[in-house]
Amino acid sequence: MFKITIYILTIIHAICWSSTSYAKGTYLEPEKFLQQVFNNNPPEPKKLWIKKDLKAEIKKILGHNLKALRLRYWDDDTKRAWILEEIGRDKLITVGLVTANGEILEVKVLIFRESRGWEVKYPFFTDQFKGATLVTDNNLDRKIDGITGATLSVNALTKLGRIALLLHKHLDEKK
Amino acid sequence: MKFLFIQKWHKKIGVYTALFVIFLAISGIALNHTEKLKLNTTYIKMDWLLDLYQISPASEPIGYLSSNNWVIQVGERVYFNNKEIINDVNKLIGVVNVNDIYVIAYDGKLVLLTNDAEILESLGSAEGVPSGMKAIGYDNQNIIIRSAHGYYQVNLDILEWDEHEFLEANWSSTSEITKSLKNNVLKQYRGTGLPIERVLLDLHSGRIVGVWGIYLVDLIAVLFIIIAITGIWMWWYKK
Repeated sequence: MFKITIYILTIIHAICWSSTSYAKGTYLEPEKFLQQVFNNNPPEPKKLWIKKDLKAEIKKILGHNLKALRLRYWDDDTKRAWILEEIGRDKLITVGLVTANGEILEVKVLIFRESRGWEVKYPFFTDQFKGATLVTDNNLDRKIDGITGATLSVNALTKLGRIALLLHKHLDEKK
Repeated sequence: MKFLFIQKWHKKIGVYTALFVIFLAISGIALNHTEKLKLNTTYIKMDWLLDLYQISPASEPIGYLSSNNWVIQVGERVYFNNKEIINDVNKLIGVVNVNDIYVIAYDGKLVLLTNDAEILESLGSAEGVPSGMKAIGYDNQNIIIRSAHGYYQVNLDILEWDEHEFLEANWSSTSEITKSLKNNVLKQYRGTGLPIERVLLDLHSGRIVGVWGIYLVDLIAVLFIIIAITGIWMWWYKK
């Protein structure tokens, strides 16, 4: 009986440990993400200064100021890649996004530092963003389905999707 | 006789647990709306409660002085003088001031800061920041980075990372932080270390007074079950 109890406890511990080890970590190095997006030949990063009007629009989406005066992005004239960060619950989630022709081509969670809400890394969630565009008030043209227990991570990724499209639109308008 | 006995204890337990029911209900509702009520971003300032939770950094603050400004790591946070600028830092490596921009190196990142402590931008591996950074320094207005794989002369404007076998530089090193500044950042660290949500969660579960608090809340939960069962039984008996 004692042995069986020990086995059960060991299995429970292993399951708990493995589930938390899935949670945090670097899923894809940002430079590898860029290599994947641009077929191993990423362009030189460009600078985008976040000026007053753009800053105000970003604030409306995030609910707080962007913590940077400028951002870098990668543009090969057919698509743009963005590496953006936003806090889920307590810590930053690093997300890679690809945009082209005013729509999202791809969303990938690169680094997840929270202990909960990591399910947003799965394609069943991130694929919802494919083809999304901006409509009025810089909202997405579709509803992104949430994940139980990962509401804040879902919100963070949805905000970053909107920001990437807003930045893409801003660059197109500047052309 | 049996009915009267159960009714008597149903009433007694009901009165004794009423306050707990009200508290657990209110705290439960509050915890369900923690973001809207900003319980996770509003911090406790009471010293005795901060002491109870032992809110203090695991190690002494580490400071780097550059052009009369301090960059200080306290726990996982980094301050520019007394303003918190970065959270979630493992190891602060150093700071240099080049062309009125402060370049702060930590973990695998460089953060560029203006004189007003505004973050200009944050650079990581995607922008070419070498992995395994060991030290940051400067030489003739050039930023020099020593990493596990070699030395780099960096042009942050065009993100050019020239690799060398060896480079001389004025390396950023730690300095003794002034006592008043140290106290100030430590006070700030404590002041943003304990959100109301944490305390409310521990009150709700009883953890705030340790293991006996948990047992007390367990006992109250058992009493709730007894009240529910006796209530249903009395209703059924009368029927």
